[in-house]
Amino acid sequence: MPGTLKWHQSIERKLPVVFSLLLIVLVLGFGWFVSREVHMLAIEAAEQRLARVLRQLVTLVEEAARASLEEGEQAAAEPEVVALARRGPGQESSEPIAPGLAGRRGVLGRLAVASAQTELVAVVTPAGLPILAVAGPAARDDLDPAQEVSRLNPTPGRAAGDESSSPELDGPSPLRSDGHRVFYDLLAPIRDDGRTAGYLVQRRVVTRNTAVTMMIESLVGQGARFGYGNADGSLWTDLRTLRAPPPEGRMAEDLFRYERDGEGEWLGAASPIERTPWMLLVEQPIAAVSESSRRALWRLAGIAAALLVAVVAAAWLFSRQITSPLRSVTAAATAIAGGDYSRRVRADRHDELGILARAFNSMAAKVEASHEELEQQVAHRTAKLSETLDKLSAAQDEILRKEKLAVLGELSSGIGHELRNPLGVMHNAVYILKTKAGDLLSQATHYLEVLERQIQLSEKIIGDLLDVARVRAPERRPVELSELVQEQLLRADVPEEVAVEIDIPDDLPKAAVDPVQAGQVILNLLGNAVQAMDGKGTLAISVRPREEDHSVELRVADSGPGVPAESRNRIFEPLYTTKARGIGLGLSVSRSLARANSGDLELLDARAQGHGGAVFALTLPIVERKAPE
Amino acid sequence: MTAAFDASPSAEPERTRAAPRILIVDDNREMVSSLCDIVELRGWASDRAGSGEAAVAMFNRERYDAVLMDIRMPGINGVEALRMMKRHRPQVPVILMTAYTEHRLVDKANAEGVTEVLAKPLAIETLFGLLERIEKR
Repeated sequence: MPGTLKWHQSIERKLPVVFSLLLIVLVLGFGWFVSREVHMLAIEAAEQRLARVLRQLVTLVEEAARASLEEGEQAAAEPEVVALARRGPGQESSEPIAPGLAGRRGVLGRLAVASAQTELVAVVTPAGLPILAVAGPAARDDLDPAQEVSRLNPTPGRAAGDESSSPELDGPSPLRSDGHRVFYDLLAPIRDDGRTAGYLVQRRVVTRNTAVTMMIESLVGQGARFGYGNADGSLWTDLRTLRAPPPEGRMAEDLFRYERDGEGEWLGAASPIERTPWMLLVEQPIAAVSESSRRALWRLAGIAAALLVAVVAAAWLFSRQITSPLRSVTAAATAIAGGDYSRRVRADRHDELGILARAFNSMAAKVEASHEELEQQVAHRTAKLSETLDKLSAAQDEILRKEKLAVLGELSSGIGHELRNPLGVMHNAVYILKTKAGDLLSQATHYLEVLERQIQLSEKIIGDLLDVARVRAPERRPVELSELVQEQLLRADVPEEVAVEIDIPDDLPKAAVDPVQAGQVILNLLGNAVQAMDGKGTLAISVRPREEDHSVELRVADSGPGVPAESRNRIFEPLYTTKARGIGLGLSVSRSLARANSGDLELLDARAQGHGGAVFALTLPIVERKAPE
Repeated sequence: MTAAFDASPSAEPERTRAAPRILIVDDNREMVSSLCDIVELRGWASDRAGSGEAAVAMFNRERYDAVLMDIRMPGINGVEALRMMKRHRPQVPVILMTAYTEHRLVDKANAEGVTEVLAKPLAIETLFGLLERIEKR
């Protein structure tokens, strides 16, 4: 079934496309699912990290705040401090205090250098009036502690209004800012006999701690930001500068997401710090979080593309593996249909295609065998037909020959009859003249005798003619061929210049023929041979038994010019002659006589016999032998 | 066309009563006359006829001691004429002549009681032998 396939009909093309499409759908679906999962996992991980970092920070800050408070409370309980508070505001309070001198100032000095963030440590009255202030490490050079203390806001005492009834002021204050820095105060009440004699104030700056901020942000990573502010949202800082508070209402949740102006969605975690008015916030842009998952997805896409190429190639190879044997089978089938029956396909595979190839080859072998058989049958039939045609042709020739002979017979009969009448009259006339004219001249008598002999000769010619025209039924009997040949040689009157070679075996079986007819045939052959050699040459006569068909073959060969090629097929026809004298009946009658005696007469191919002249073969049946030996 | 010349009896009526008579029949006029001359050499009188029809008519009219007749002739042939003659006078010997042995006619002639069939040209001594035998009868 040769022919070109349309694109969508070819397995070789269809298979890779189908596989590719299937793979694309699978990869896309799987990729979508994986990316969603990865994204969710990344966010979850980011949330957990944020929460963990936040918890740690909160713990740290709480610890620090508590420690600072405890230090403050301990310092406030020192007799030295109580004494200061009891003494009230004095001259010393306005005394400028250099940061370097803090160490010398007893309890307050020690407290001032305890934290790098401490700007100053002061003792104030319950109303907030400064008694004594000491500068800390975070103090600016131009800091006036007394002035700073006066700015305590809200000052504990002032806020209460009434010294005795003022509520306990304790712990850290909310963050405040003066535009340059963000700070807070840690207040510790100074007790003297059950009443509040004053407050110990530690002022700490938070915006000088850039390193901490960077450390925290790098700890969280991926664009993380840090926030530190009042729980009421009044002030927020990232420890470097002021920053916007997180969106209101979201901080109730531990974790939240929100939209930041121009920066997309952010993930945040916030927590209040116990025993302070503060909150801590750690936040991160979701885009940064999903960055890694997106990178992973791109890698996945790359792998998927490579996989796609590999699968398409594999599918193509696979389909080729299937289709190329099919193609070779198709090509072989086409070749066989075109007449090349020996065409086979390779059958060295061990799969279904191998089975197909073997089945195909066995079918092709059968087709070839049956084709050969058919051809042989055709050849056989053709040969038979040819043989039959030859026989038919021979039969036709025979019929023609017989017809000619019949015509000749009638003609001879007519001529003979017509000629015999005048011959008869002449014969009668000669008889009368001879009888009555005894006194005629002796010369006339002589001519009358000549005339009579010529009449007799003519009569004999007519008799012979009539004899050969009519083949009488043979009277067959055992005949010694060598004797027959010798008899005919005598009759043939062979000239002396012709050498006669006779080759007849002694143990030759006798022929079963009519001796007169067989002799006539042999005589005719001898006469023809002598005539062909023009009086001199070699005449060879040989006889050989032919056991296979119970016959003997007598050959008469002459050294004459042979039979011309154009005459070979015609010399057995009646009235055909190559001689100047002769009526062309000898060979025709001879063959008829041979056949009437169950034999045959043929002209052999003289060249094939290695002979220059003509070779005639007379086949004659032999007497059936009794059981041999 | 050949029957006209021999419609008459023989030209030699003056013969001794003892002379035997033969009717010679052939469509060849010269054959007939030569044969007449030949039989006269042996003392036979002869009548001649040129056809089978004429021969039968003469045979019925005259008395003959023998008939010598060709087989092949136009009109009724020698065998046919023989049959008619034998029907009329079966004892008269009839000799037939033929240029060639036409087997079927010869067989028929034998069946009709022919005395002898001679081949042409006639062996004259044979003919004379036959005539001698007829005379002796």
